[in-house]
Amino acid sequence: MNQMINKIFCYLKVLLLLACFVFSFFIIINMYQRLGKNLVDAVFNFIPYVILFLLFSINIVLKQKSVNDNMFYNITCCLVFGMLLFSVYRTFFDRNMVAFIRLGYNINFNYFADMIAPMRAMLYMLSVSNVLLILDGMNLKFQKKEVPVVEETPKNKEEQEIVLTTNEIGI
Amino acid sequence: MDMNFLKQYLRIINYALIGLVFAFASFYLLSNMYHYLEIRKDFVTTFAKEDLVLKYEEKLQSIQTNISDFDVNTYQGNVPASQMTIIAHQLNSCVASFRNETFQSMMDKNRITIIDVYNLREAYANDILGDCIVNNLFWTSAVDQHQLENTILAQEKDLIQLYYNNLFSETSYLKQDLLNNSSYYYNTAIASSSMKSNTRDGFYEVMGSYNKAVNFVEYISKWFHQEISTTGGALENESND
Repeated sequence: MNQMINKIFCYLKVLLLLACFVFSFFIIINMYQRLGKNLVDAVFNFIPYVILFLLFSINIVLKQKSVNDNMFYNITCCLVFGMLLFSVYRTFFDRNMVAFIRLGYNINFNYFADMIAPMRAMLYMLSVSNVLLILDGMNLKFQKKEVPVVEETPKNKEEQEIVLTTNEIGI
Repeated sequence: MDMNFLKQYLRIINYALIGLVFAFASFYLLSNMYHYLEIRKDFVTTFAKEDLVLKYEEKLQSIQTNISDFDVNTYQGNVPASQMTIIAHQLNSCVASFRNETFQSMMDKNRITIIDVYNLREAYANDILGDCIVNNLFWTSAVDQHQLENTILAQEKDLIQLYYNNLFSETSYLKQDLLNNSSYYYNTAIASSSMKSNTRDGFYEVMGSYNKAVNFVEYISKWFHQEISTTGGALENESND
């Protein structure tokens, strides 16, 4: 049961990531156009999405169990994307916010602008933890140099006897 | 060297990081939900039956009565009849501004939203302050005895100016407060909105401003009425007393 739920979260996080990316892209590009800002500057907001998408792809393609089977990580990802989607919903539909009426763009840029910084921070943090989980799952080992143990063994019977007698005497 | 030792540390750091993200996301989600619910709170009341609205309507009625008594053919006061005609026209224009479209559209409402309060404030700034006070009645703060042969307005022009300043800055805080509802930050505005209802308090604040403005216009209309009923002498004597 747990495995099944984990699998659902594992694939759901990828879908939610894509959904968040599409809506954020639409809002941020429109916002930059309205403000007359250079659109190239908007690219920096999407870099964490790209990094995270690449990492998720690597996780799934290489079947990295350390990430895919980590329920805490999967749930956290879904929570972050769920929160972002909720803020996207409010950006488009929450008409009780005065800026929505005042700006008159049918998109509340004023509200979403507050979300960009935490969004980027959380996506970067998820990327870092993903990399750390990958490292955790890798079977890394330091190779030890095997030092040969040299034991001096008596060569003939006479020497053996000498050794034995000296041991008996206690020298 | 044992790799497990490093891995253990790595794992601790990693779970701390994920935990931090979890905490951040939960906080933002809950904060957003709280804010979403908070600004949805409406003030349930019958707009037309509110005390402040009833008083407001009474004052408007009183202004209209004061103006309607003016007849340019029979008027023989100190102020020139042409000037009195202009003032009558200005007061009529003010009444129309007070009964602006936004205010009229509110009369049928039984539920007031935060956006209604915002619209009322905008109508106050544009129609009442802009059209009525600034465009039509601002001369009352700069009456010259030689321009208008009446002392009462000339004597009180400083007080009128102060009253104007008060009216102009009356809803500026409310405006900032309303605009602040578009940020979900856990700040003092949000904290205060949990203690008070922004919609209800904003409504009373803006209606208080409407009443202050209408009181002033009624004061001018009373002067106007005394001017026409006593042909200019009575009000001047009263002020001297």
